Amino acid sequence: MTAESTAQARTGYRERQLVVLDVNGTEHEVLVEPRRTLVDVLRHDLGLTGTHVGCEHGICGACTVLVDGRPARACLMFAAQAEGSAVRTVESLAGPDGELSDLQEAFTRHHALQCGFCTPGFLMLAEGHLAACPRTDKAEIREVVAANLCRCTGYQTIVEAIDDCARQRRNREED
Amino acid sequence: MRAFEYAAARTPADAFARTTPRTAYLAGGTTLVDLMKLGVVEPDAVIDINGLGLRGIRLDRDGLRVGALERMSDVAEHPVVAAEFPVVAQALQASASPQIRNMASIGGNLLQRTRCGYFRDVATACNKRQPGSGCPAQTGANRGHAVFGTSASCVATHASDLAVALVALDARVELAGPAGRREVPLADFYRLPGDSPQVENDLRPGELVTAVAVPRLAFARRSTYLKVRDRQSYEFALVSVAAALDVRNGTVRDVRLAVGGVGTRPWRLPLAEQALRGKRLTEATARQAVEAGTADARPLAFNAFKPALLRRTAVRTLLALGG
Amino acid sequence: MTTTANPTRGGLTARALPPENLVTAGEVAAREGTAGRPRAADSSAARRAAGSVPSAATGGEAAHPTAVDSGARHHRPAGRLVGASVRRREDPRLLTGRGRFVDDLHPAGVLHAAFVRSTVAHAEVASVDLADVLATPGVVAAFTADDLGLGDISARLARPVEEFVPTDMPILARDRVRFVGEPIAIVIADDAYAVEDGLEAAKVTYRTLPPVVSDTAALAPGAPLVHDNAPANTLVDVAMFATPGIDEVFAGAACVVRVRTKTGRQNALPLETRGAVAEWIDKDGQLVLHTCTQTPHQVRTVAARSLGLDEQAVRVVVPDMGGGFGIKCVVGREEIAVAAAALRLRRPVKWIEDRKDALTASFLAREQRYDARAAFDAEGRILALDADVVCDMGAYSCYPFTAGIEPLMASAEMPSVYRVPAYRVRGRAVTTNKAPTAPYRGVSRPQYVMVVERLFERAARELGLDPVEIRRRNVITEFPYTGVNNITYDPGSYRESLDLCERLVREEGWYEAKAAAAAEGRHLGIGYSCFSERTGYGSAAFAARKMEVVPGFDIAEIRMDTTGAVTVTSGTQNHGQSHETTLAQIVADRLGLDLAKVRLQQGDTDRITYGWGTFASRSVVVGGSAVGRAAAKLADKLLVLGAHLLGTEAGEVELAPGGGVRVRGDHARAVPYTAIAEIAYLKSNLLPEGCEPGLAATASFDVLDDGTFSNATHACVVELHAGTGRVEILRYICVEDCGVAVHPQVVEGQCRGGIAQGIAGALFEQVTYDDNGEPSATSFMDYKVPTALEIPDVAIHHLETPCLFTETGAKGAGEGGTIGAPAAVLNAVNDALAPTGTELDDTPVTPETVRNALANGPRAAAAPTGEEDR
Repeated sequence: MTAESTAQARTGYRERQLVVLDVNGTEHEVLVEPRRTLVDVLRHDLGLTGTHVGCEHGICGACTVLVDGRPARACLMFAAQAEGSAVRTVESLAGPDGELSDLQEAFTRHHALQCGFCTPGFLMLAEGHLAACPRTDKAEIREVVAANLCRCTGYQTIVEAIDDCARQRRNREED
Repeated sequence: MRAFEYAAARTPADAFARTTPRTAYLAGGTTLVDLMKLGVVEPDAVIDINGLGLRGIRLDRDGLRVGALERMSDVAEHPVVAAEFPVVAQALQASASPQIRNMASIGGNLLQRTRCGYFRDVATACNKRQPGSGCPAQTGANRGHAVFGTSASCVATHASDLAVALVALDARVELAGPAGRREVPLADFYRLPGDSPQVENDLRPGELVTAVAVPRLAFARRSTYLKVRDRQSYEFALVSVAAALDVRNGTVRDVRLAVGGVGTRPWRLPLAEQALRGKRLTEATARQAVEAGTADARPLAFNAFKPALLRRTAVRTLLALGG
Repeated sequence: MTTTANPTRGGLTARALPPENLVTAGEVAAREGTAGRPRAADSSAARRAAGSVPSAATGGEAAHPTAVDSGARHHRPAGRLVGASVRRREDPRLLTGRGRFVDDLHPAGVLHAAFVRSTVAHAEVASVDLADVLATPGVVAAFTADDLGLGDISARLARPVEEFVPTDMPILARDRVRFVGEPIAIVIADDAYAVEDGLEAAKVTYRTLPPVVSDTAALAPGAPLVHDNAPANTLVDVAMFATPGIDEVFAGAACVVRVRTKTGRQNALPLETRGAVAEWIDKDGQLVLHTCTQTPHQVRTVAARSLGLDEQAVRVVVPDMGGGFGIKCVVGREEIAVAAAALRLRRPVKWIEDRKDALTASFLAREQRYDARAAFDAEGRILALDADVVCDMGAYSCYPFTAGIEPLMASAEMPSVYRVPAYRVRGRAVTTNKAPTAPYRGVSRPQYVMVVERLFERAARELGLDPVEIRRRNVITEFPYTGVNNITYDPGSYRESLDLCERLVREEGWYEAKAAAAAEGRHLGIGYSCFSERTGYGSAAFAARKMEVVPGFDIAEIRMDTTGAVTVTSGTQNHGQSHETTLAQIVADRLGLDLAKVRLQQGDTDRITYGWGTFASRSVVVGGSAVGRAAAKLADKLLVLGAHLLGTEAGEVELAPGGGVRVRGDHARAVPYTAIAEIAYLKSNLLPEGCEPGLAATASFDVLDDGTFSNATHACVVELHAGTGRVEILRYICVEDCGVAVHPQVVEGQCRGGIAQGIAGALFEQVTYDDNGEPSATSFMDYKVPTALEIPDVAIHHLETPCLFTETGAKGAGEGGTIGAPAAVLNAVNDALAPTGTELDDTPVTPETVRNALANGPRAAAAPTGEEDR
């Protein structure tokens, strides 16, 4: 019924545009179709595969990154929309030698991840929230955590990890 | 997602010059990108309007004015909005998720499309998406659908929480297009589906929402938004109630009441407001008023619960505000 | 022990190696059974429990469970890793975005695949026209079933045709489609966007057939047939047990209660959808299939058969996995099609399932209908259980479990934790025009536990008994116990978990809270579920199901290198359960090694002879025992070589903590593993005569008896909100016993996550189909996965009845939470509804049903709640 296509020869005709992105403090130039979403550019063009895709429609939150410091869903943004903004992904959290950040430490301490697929989204969601609301409390954290889906943990340890991190940051500040 | 051309407009004129019936404006993108992925919307070109300014949250003697490109979270967290119009802040906070609120614009929120499953599934018929193809929701999965303003062509609800709050407050939308600027009461901006559900609002070709204006209303400080939903996050309203109450010594001087999750557009309840004015606020008067205001509800097979749920929620909201 | 301490047969010796002990030569084969003894526990939970568990209640010397809490478990003797919540070794990469999931693989020149899928539920395929697909820019190829000529996926039970009708699942539909979403053609393009363009251009015409969209429609006389060779759309029909005289028991019983229930169709829903990257490697002469599967060897078998290759020409590699929960322990047709495309094109091909396909076209589970009766005497002792179970398995049998997976599980195990003297069951699998069914965490146990627990609650109500008391009178307390279902239950803490759980609920004041709420016209309810979970099914247990391929054993291979570090390969497959940590803990303890010296690898069919992967809570039981045995075998050789280097006999030496061999009673005479490894590899001329070079061992483990049963009691407190119909969970308590917890924090994680999924099934999630067979849930907007605002915190208390035959005393812990939660939630809802006279037995319980029940009941006039649902 079918044969292999000769369409390969036609690749490259598709309209592409140059997009300049600031990701984790580094400037990247990519030539992509306008329809390419930010998460696909991060993952497949820049090789930053820590940001995941769980539903493609902005509901599960696995693709959460920070855009100008605020959590956003990278699956619901065209890459071009992020031009001129600072994008931060999960790859930016640890130290240059791979040392875990206090938030990442809290996640491992509290067993806030099992399969780890949703984890980068929760980390970036939490990172954005803690930066905006350092005085946050557990009830507020639970509401924020409710923005993303996790299928493994039952959420309790995620809430506890973020709360623990927030307390430690406050304690350090007071010292 | 179908391929398209992308252009960022630098000025309104630039934007207008680029628009055709096959273009779409892009602000936050949270609705547009979603619908493009589903194949529900397939523009030839997307015009990014984020460079047009259209920002600012200002309160003056006329009231509140919010630029259409302000993000939902910025408006929700703005101290003036929270103090003067709590119903607006609360409606925004009850919407979507923090990430979406950080991305989505106010104008885009008001123009968001229905969450009707048939509308979103290109494999099925839908008069709104494909005029004349039919409306499976009339008899199909219609638990989330409307009980007010429905027609034989469409029973989809309007999905915006913010719009419900704004309609309660007599907000107006400022529009700009190739033919100039104008201003329309938000309640009139939205159209009933009738036999052309594909036309959802009063926007003319190429027109943009540029701002939302909320007239000064002192008693809006006593306002609230109550939303009932299946999940507490990322969930559209089964029913919602936006209310503002001016009550002195137990007597209602004035009241604003609009409801969501139940109408094909944000649904104001003028009869209920009228019935309450001048009355003492009690459970009985609230119930009578709400019942009077919602008597024309026409439930479908799977949303018969909505009128009763709505009435209870509205009564609770009023009593909570009055207490 | 009251009876045999040896629940295994046929060459497997029962033993419970106290994990603190390093292995010494010869010890592996014969350990006296010291398991089942109380564990010392220094915790407040233990003290509370000690008072509540009279020793007489547990029956002679039989396993006394001991309450421990996780705090106590963190304080194992120094140096011992089993029982310690060490840092998970998986975490650093997963937290830094350096995990490697299947969609993170991007081989050079990779092509992207997607599937043309049926848009109708039941039809003959009249034509497939892919000409426009192939003309789509970026599209490289498109294939139909005819183009690829692949063998079908055939799952079989060794049962007569009256009990099992064999059906096959083609990789791509040929002339018939049986559900919306069934793959018809595979399209391959040079990027993931172009392949979507290609799909849009496909033209398929159908001659539609009437769809069968429910179990009742399937069984109705004259129903259209989903498979022409399956009369009455029945794929499995088994009648089991039928205790003689059971009808007379029912006729003469003081109390007979009945539960009829329908449970909603669910999706296991790992956050990572299914996906595969396939690539032909000329150098190796192999097709390498990277796929996120729980069972790599089974995928290899099916892929090889379907493609007509020897298995050595197929290598299945599993990257990091974003969950599975059962949906990934069956072989998917898409991954085989992707392999075929890669083979054909000689280019890497990637397929990542989108969420819509994951919800509609992968595998679903749990849609079952029960009609169950139980007979009780006047004192509340159960006399008989009789059930008719119909499972709606959708369009196809899954490999390797078949459509029998759900009905056979329910039929075999329904008597649960109770002494049921008479039992009869009929279990059926019906086929419908819906996406097929795979195992999902708990497999039928969430349903039958709910049914049995509802029967007990109903009987308690009829007999005027307390619902906990009626359970107390019926739970199994003497072990091993062989039930009417011919299953032998190893020691557990059924009664103790029930007592402790009830006591915790009382101590927290929930009974008073319920009374106070009732006085205010509010609706609080308390519900329990008491259950066990067979974990570590061995080949005997699966053979009893009459599967044609019989899972059960597992293999572990271990190698020590010249630095004294070991690499352990297990046939199990981590997908979130922390195997890299827990299995390494077992090995490190066995060899006295630091955890950092032990590396676990899995998920590569080229690295181990065979494995059965991870499902049915088997990994720590079977896989954990296999790695322990392999380590013990390696230890034997280390002892021989160590003794040789020390100039003594193997019987005179033992392993030394930190990694070496020393002379017993003279610890100063010792050699480190590095010295032993040196002669094993680099100076083999120094090996003793007859000793092979190298330090490696392979071991297997199977459970040749009925397996081991973890158990738990859950308690749930709910408030029903009359205004909205919302079921709010106010409190959730879990008292669990999975034997020795290798990593208590991981066990708690499994409990909490499992309970969340159980709650999801009880209250939120469901895939429905309309009359045309169109699925309702196509996105997370319609399929309502609960969030952090719906799932409560869970208080977990541990009891510990060590398993008698696993290496560590551990039982499985993967599924219990999911099994117990629906029953506890539903019982709590019904307790709250008791004054209304309405009982709800179907799941999910929706706000509408709750609102209606409250509105129609005698308390309808109660004041609306003050709930703020903003």
